[in-house]
Amino acid sequence: MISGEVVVRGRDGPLVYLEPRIEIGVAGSDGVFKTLSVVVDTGFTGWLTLPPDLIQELGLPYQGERYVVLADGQENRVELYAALISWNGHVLPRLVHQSDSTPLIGMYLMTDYHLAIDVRVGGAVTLSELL
Amino acid sequence: MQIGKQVNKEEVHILGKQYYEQIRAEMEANHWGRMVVIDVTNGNIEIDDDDLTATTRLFERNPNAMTWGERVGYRAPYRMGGAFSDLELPRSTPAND
Repeated sequence: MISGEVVVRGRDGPLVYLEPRIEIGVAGSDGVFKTLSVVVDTGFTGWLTLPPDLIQELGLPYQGERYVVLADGQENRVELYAALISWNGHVLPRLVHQSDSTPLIGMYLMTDYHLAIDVRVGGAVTLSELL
Repeated sequence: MQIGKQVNKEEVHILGKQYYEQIRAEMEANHWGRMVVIDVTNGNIEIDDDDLTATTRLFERNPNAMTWGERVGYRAPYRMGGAFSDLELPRSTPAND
């Protein structure tokens, strides 16, 4: 099982919004896994997004480009990279979308898992493999 | 192993769409909803339900592949819901009025 926590995004003031976060590992070109805090995003259909600086730091190999439809309905071209992701004790080759945002994990990565979120500050986030 | 021509990243979508337009009618007739992934350096094509599988096969055929992918019949193979850019986050707490 993968466990995480709902955290507040925003600074010192009112609650801005809540993010369900977990940690995953992503392997760099040297084979060393870097632990990343990622947001669980059921609105993202892919596996993982990473910002350009992190993709460069990890030395992920370029795969190509794909269209992605954003929430406002616009299609954007997004660069695609390959990565080994450490996920619930498995090491999986997966595709990474480059996005200038907090790293997100999407529905493809969570496929065949049960997702539960206690939506409040400090609430539990769990992903457990479906049998 | 088929090594392709040199392609700049900026050309990937242009070449990819050109290749796809040549096969679109056949794909829409026979492969609706599947992923068509094209290696734009050599025109190799792989079709699968899954982008990862098709893309992996293209890289087995050509380790220097650069790929463009279409979900047949759909505007885009992926959707990204409410991903805020870090740039959109306030840098500091706004002052109270």
